[in-house]
Amino acid sequence: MNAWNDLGNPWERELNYYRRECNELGARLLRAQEDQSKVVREARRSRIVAKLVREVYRLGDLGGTVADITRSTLEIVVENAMCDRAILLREAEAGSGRFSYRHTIGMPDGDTRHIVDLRRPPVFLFASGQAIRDDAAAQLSAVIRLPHILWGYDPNSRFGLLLGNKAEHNTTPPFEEGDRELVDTALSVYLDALYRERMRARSQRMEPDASAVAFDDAAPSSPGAGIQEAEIKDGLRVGGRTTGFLVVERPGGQYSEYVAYINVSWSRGYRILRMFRDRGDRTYRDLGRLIQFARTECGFTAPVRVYTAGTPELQDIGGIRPPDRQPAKVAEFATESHGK
Amino acid sequence: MLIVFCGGKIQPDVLLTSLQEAYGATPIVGGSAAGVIARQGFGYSGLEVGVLAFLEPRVTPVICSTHALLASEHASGQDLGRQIAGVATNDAFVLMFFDSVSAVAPPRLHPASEIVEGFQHGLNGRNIELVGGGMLADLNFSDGWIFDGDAVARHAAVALVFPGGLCAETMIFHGCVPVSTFMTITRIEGAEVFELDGKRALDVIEQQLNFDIAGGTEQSLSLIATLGQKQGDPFAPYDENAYVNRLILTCDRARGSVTIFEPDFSVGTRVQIMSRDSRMMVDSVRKGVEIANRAIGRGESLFSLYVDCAGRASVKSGAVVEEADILRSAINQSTPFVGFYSGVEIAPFNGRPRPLDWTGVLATVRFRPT
Repeated sequence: MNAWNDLGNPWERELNYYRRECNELGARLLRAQEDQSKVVREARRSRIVAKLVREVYRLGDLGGTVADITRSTLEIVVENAMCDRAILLREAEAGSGRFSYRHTIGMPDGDTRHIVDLRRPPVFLFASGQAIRDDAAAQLSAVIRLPHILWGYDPNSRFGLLLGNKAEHNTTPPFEEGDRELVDTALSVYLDALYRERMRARSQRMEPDASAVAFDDAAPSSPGAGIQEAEIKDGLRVGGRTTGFLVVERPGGQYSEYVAYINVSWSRGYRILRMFRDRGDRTYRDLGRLIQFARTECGFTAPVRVYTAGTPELQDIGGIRPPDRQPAKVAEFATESHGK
Repeated sequence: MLIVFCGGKIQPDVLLTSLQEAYGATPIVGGSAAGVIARQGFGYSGLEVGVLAFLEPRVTPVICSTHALLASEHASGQDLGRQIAGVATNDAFVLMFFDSVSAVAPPRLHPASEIVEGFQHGLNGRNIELVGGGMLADLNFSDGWIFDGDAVARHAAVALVFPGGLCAETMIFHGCVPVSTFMTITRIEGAEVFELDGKRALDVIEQQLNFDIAGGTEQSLSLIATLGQKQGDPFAPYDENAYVNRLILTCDRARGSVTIFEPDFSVGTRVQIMSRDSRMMVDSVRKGVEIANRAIGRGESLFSLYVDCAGRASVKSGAVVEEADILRSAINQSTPFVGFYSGVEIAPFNGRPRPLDWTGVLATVRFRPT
């Protein structure tokens, strides 16, 4: 008891003790609340991609026009990414750097620009409060007239997506590397929705026996442009067909690799088979699997010709890429349908 | 007449023109909203529009407005109060909307407490029931505007005076708990709190919480901590309805001060640091909607309006569940309903209209019992 008294008024000490504990517990609670808020915001960010895919695909299923799809896609992006402004642009010609606006959201009233020049646009870029800003970031900031930006560009389709925020704080955290998935996915699903709309529109114009008729207005494929499995499946589903399928063998040190060139009724010329998201040529070590792909996925039942890269005959076939035309030892053979 | 709430990414002139083309020379009031809540859904992306239409003259309110908030919030409020006193019956229900943002850099709001104080003076003793909200263009307080009946206006307030045959039942949903002991404000100028217990306010709060609430740049938005003033007996058990909370808008490290939403605290006011409590916020809404639904069921209700603090949105509060979602799906289906996310809420509190932070205010307008 003496010890208590020696330390001063026990009631005052007890009061101060509870006061300190109360403040400490409260501080812990508030910090925990703040941490939870951050986790919820991060979780929201990671859900955006899944929501984008789901909602934009639904748009395609509803069968809107290209303008509907463009407007709605950008709205979905803005709604989920919680950004202040967004612009969807397309480069006029590959490498020209001249981009025209397809749709904008949140731009100031006085901004009447529809065409902007972007020198050497990067495939991906973000500029936040912490990141160093280079020329590319500065020119993109000038386009959207905001300091904090996120940019994605698909050189194959020449579409670019630019998002901007006025400020960065707890509601709108800084853009970061992880947001690449957001812009990449948004562009991918948008292009896919456009493609499906194009296919749907064409199929509605086709004759009753759609499968037997090639698309009259088949667009010439740009030289060296590839084709992905999703496009083939969608094209076949709406009445298109595979009109040609050839294989080029690329001899390697120990094994050869095989690539496929496919001609489809909705475009002109052979197009090399590319991986998902156009990340590279789709190559096979097992020729049998590639032939099976031609039969089952592409519905191609005619003989498949296999050429070794560089064979002179490839020079006369449109769409073959230069590396596969390089002179090499020729070894040609053919496989036929039904396992022959 | 139309009451319209629209997201900040929508150009207000374009929306106004479109609505006028569709509905003719109908007065349009309301303004920008950080988000819109409706029975079918809700959102705060800036692309939402909510519309409430009044078709019958016997339920259509009279519009009063003022456009001088930038010069003086108090004088503007007084002007509005005088106009209302000239047209309102005693105990009339009045809805008021004003644009919250006065300046962006540094952030400054039109203080609702000064508007309301001037408003009370202007009423000159006339009793009214006031509910309202500060309009925002987004959750970041970057802009705001109102529709004043004819056009888009900034630094303005519009009031709707409902006919005497109508009244409103108002519920206030809270969601903050105290996380500190009492501190006394020892120096304050307007809404800028300089000292707590004789020490620099920002230092006291950060020391107490052990984290940076000021953010990177001086006078940038903070919106993390809240100061609460407990009404009545300070040592009475916790009651969410006993608190007037003021969110900290900005911090100034050089001056050691914090600026709160409203300049209605003074030297000697005892405050506590408050934290939002998501579970309590949701529980409060659930219980409140049950009571509101009983009230709706008792008489012929005209509509329900929800003025919801933008800070309660999950993206800001961190709540796993959106309380607006609970409310919109649980509220009685027989009555038209619309809501919006606001910068500040105004509702009757302890017998007089008072601006509130971190609250949801649900007003159900119905015919006055005879």
